Amino acid sequence: MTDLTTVDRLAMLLGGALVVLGTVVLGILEALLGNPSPVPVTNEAGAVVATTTFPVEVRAYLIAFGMLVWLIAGVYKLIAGVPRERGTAAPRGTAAE
Amino acid sequence: MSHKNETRNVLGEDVTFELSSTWAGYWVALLRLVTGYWFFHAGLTKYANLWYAGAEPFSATGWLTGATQGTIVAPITVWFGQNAAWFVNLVIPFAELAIGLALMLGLLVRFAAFWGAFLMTFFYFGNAGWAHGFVNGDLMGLLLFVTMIVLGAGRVMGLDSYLEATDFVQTHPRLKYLLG
Repeated sequence: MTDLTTVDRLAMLLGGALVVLGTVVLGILEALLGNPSPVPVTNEAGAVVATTTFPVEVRAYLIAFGMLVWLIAGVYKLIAGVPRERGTAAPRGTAAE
Repeated sequence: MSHKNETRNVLGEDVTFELSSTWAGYWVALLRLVTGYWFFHAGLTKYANLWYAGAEPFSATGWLTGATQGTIVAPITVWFGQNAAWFVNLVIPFAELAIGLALMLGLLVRFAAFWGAFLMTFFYFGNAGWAHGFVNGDLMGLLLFVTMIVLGAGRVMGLDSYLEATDFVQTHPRLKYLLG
């Protein structure tokens, strides 16, 4: 059985995808394209020896929008309330509801 | 008591997650305690001027107007730094102290952890440069607070487990999204 609502699914898929895209996916792509650092790399003389492919602002916004999706889903759940069948008492110590 | 949750389908995968009286439950409570002390200590040390002679009062003004320049949160942080720095200087130490205390006690954990995640969002995105990568200590701290919210960490060895058993919360189940 599942008690995931459409909002839950949307938050998990869209929010998670945006956060993972901004951190893991673009990070790996950045490394494969030649610069494992998210910022330009300079040598001792200060000359840039490796630049970034993806602007840091783009990655930061992707992560931020992913978190925003999670936030909106959380606020929606708070406003919408607990589904009737899950509003009953859970045994003490039961988490993740 | 060992309570086994029902098997649930999570995005196409059947998941049975047992928390109470298990290593998972123990670990959730430990994470809550450690995360709480992390913020409690961060807040407490910002009041150092209250007991160390000569210690400067906490000020985030330089961080707000300087270090966050060029980041995606700069429009907010710089405005506060220039117009209401007193508010930030007042709120950050108190909020860190209160959030930390709430998490350590397991009291209003989801509400407290939300504000912890809120603060960490500004610390994460406001620390310009990304020299330590996009997955850094600030993001880990932020995700710890989100973990507290998702797992309802206050229900394991926390005061929220007692509060949630009260008639008031049972008749107002929406409060479970603030407790837990």
